[in-house]
Amino acid sequence: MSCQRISRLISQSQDRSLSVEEQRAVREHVASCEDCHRLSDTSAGLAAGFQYLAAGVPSKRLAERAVTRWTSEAASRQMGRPNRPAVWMGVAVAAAAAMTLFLVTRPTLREGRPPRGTATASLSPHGAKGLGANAPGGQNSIPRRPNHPAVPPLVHSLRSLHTPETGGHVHEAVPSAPNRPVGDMKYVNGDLAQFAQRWGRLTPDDTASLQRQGDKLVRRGDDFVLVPFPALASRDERSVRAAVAAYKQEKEVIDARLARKVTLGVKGMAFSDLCEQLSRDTGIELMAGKTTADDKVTIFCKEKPLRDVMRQVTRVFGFAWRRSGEAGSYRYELAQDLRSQLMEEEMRSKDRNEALIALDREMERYRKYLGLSPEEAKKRAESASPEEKELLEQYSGRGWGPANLYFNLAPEEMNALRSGERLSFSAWQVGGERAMPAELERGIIQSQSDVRVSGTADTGYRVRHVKEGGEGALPSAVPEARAKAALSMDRGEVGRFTLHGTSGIAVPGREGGRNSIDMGLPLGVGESPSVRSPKNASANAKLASDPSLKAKVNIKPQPSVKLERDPLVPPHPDESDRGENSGARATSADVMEAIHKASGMDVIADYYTKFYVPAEISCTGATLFAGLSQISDRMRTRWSKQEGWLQLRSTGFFNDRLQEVPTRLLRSWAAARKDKGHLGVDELIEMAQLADAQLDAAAAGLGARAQHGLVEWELVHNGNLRAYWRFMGSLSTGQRATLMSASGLSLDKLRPSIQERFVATVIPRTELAGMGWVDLSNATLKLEYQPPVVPASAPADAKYLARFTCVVGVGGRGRWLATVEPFRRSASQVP
Amino acid sequence: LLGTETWRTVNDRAGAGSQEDALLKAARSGDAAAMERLLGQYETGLLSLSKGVLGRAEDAEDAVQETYLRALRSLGGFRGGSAFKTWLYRIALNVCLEWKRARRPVETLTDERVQTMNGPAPDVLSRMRMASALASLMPRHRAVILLRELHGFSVAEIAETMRWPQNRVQNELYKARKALAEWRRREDQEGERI
Repeated sequence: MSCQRISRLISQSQDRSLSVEEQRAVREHVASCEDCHRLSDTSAGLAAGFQYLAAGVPSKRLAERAVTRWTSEAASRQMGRPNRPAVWMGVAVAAAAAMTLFLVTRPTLREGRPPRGTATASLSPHGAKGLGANAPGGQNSIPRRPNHPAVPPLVHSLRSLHTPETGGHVHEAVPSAPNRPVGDMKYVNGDLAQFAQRWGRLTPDDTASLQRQGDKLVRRGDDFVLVPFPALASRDERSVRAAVAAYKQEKEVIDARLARKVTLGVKGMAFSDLCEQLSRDTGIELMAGKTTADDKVTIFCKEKPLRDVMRQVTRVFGFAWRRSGEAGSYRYELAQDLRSQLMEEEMRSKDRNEALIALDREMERYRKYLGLSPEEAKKRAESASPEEKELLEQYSGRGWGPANLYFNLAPEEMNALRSGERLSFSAWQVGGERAMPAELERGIIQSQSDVRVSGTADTGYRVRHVKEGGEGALPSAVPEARAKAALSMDRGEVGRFTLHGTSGIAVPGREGGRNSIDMGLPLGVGESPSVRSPKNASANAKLASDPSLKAKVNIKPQPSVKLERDPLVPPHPDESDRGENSGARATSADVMEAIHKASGMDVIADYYTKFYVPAEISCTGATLFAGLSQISDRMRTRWSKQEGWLQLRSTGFFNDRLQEVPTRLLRSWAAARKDKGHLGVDELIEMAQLADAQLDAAAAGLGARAQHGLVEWELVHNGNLRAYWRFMGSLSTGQRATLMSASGLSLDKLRPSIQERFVATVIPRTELAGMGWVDLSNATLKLEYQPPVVPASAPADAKYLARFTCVVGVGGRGRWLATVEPFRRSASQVP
Repeated sequence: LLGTETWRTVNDRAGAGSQEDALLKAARSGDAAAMERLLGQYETGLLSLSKGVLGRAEDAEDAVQETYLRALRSLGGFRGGSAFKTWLYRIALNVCLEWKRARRPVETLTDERVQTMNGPAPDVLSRMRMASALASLMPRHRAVILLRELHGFSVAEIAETMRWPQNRVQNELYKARKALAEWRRREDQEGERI
């Protein structure tokens, strides 16, 4: 065959199967023809080579954009407008809005309303006047006029209807048109983008991105009040008309009852309670939805229209009021819509990421020492600067192992660490431990210079810290000693990550056991922007010349809380009680009250359980501006002044919200405690169902004890006990009773799913870690709980407050394999 | 097992086809969501095809937008004589080839994604070489070779898309492959000279 024929066959071989003869001919020819060999080679590699064009092509939502554009074109055609294909996305919204307006107003044209340009005054069903402008002629006559203002009629129609004459309010957010009327919902509900930029310091891009997310999620919903106009443009004509009419009608409603005046002085009140109080005071039905009921607010105001109070709530919290019911008896519900929730989640995520980055930066300080052995680091510390010396001393001791491990983590291990998993490493790899990198083994053992090993291989080794009287050889002199270390990322307070590292050794004990010792230290702390100073003075610089903020004031909050040391937690032996958590304290609500008294201004602020030393949040003889800035910085809040109100918002509100325990729950537990004199198991189980963020927050514990008398808080705050309480939450009442009886509860009698839960959540926290299903058959569980009656009535023989035990055995010959007593106190230690 | 596998494939295809038919029906009746889904499923493919023919990602996006708009405007006239996919690809190729004719002098050989790649150098070079090779082809050859090699169109499907006889498709594919082999020969020679 000729070269040309062969080359055609080579090409065809990519598109069809060649016959055996053709294949042979091609094979033979290609072996001797360089050009055809190149063609064959090139042709075979094309599919793979062109994959770069398809790789990583991101979705541009081109279809969505095209459909939006086409829809607006279709709408234009419907209205007789010439197509404007060159005008794209930016115009789509306006075009859609114009179309929707037109669809709404068109019926009125058919009904013979006055021609365009004739201002009309129509009385709304609620007695308010609205301004309208109708177009001349039929529906086709409007759009054909060049430069016809398509949007204004819609804007006019929706900007109704609050005017001073009708008892409504001027919309202050539109200063250029102070008399432009505004509907209730527009007035009381703020703009979410503005909210995010003010309180969350999100960039416009972030806001726009979130809005897009939110829009996408709600776009296809049936609630047209929430649906933005551009999306409506893609609906059929009838639906659009109905939707916009409903929207317009809603926007135009004025509820004259909202002009009723209220005077408030509420401190840290839940919105559910506030709404109840306002309903009582005004006769208007207000309620807080599930998304907002437990949020707490502080308000001090005198004789303010309810409408203004409602508006301020949305300004500070980013929530929105929803109206339902009939004219004259409307109900209002405060809710946080999905868009706002997404925005908050985004703030939280950004904050968390920045804290992690800050932590990683902290850890980078160790990097330059990574090549040093513990001895070398110790020697270098002797001649180092004071700052470096501290770091080197830490590194040369307990920190050597964890610091080196941190920089050796695989990506999946780093992810696990960041998601809260404790990573343990040892050569023995028991109980879920990971393999200790061999190159770190020697260094970690060397770094344990304050540990001594006694005993022999035959009798078993023992390890002890020198401070506890440890004697014997250094670990590096014992060949059987093996290194162990662990890393964990503590997120006790939201917005702050602490990387903890532990290191130690393990040696063979008696009867094949293992004796070990390890000690930990914090390696680094990463703080998010939310826990840093908000620098209010510069953020509010434009308000510095505001006359109302120039007055000299004394702000002296009166403390409302007296903190006492937790009676169930003894002071750490290495630390003296510095009184950090005892004494008189003021809450943020106390501060707001002092600001209100000093300035006479209306104040609204969020409330989260935090306690401040009064002197640190007071000021004397400063201008209100300076005092507010100084105190707000110390409290980590941002302040602002708008519409005559002082507004304050926690810089980390998106994190604080997660930590705050609802007042209704605290109240119910406090009531139960008052009845019985102590908290029972049922209440503790209920308390343990709170989120970890709530139970881990130190301030929440202080508040629960100091403000509600819940001294048992530690029993659920304690991480080990919490797992048990939560596990008990999955048991029936009968099972709980059996668990607390002398015979205990057989694990086999539980449903498999509950058994699995026990093995997954409880066992790993005990000495039984590593035991599985089979090992635990015939196990018996017990709970002994002795309520910590404070102060003096604890049983004289009480050795613990709560003790969970798990008996593992076979055929009734069980022995106590493990006794879990994570919380043991003698009676004398209970004050 | 083989039979089961085959049956499953066939069944899936039938399902996919009927789903597209339903989308098509809904889109024709003015359902915007259906339009988005119907068109959106081909977005990645159309973008890569357009980028291959036009050479620039931003032009490709514009071309796909234009393709969608033309498709939407003509959707009412689409009677299902051919598969929707080939119909849509034909529109895309018409757009691209029209633009190539209108903007003949403009030819960008590099891909902006290549320029910003942080990957290993050999990979970058490979991409640059492929982009360069593609740019050496006539637009219609780019179209057919991409349909065949990147999108896996059969000769019959390409014929339907381009409205050419199958013989011509085979001929154009042959010419495209020959041209690419020739480009490679030149590249190799230049490489030797360097």
